[in-house]
Amino acid sequence: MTGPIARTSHLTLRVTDLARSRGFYEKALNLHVIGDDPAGRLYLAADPEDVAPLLVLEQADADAAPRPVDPEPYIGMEHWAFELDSNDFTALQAVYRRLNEIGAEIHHTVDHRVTESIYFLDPDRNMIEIYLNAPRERFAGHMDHPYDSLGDIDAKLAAKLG
Amino acid sequence: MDFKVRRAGHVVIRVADVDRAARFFTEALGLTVIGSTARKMIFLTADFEANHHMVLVRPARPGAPPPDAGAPIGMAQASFEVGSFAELKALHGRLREFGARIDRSEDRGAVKALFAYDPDGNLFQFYCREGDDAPVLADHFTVRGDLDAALAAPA
Repeated sequence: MTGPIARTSHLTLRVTDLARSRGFYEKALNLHVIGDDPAGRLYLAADPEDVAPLLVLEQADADAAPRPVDPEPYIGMEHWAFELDSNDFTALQAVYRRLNEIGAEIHHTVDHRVTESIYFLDPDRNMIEIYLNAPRERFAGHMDHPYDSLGDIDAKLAAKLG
Repeated sequence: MDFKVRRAGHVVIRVADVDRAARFFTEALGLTVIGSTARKMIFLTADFEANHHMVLVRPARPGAPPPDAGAPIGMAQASFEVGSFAELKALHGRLREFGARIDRSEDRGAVKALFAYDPDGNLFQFYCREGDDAPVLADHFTVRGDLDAALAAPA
């Protein structure tokens, strides 16, 4: 079945402090600001020469309502996931080390069988997932439900690089 | 070891009614249910081989309030790319048929965009790249007019 949707494109975040969020995503995910618009929104992508954004940041009004402290039980977008441009676990370890270096709050880590994932909170407590795709043979026998939770990967992420 | 983000993968949405949400994402958006769990998490994608799930819907806490109708801090909009303007038109028709609340359309030159809400009030952008010129960043925000007539015109 092919519907009209070709791909997931980007997320727009309304943020408390544009400069703070920009700095966070530049460090946490190695994103680059590729431009801004007359409304002051910042467009971020993985490569400085990209012309399509992965993330758009817009400054919220001073009286904007804060997002719920615990994102999980509320109606709305709970989290957004970015895929890592690698199939090598050391790349996910590098993200884990970076998140710890910048003091980002790691919400949880999990082996989903189809992915290995780190969930973290941005400065406005939006939950973001960064994941590494697992090789197909790893979940080929579980195609009816390849998204199990096989426990956390904290120790594996923290382990010294081999 | 350095790292780089390859692409956006998926969005997870807490909804008041999982079955209603799944109908929206399948009937209006044309996604396919690729899996579900006992906890009523439903995984949807356009193409399992390319991206195992693009959208995951799961139940919100019973009685949870809907998203703030104002402009609260947080995830304001999720964007998906559509293959062509013909498909954007088809999507517009499916959204109307479903009774989805359509917000607006924007002609931004090489990028044509349509904005609509899901049944829980989350805002989505659907856009295609159209025309002879490759899009530049400004095509993602320079609004030249709406596409209402072009989207509503017979195919």
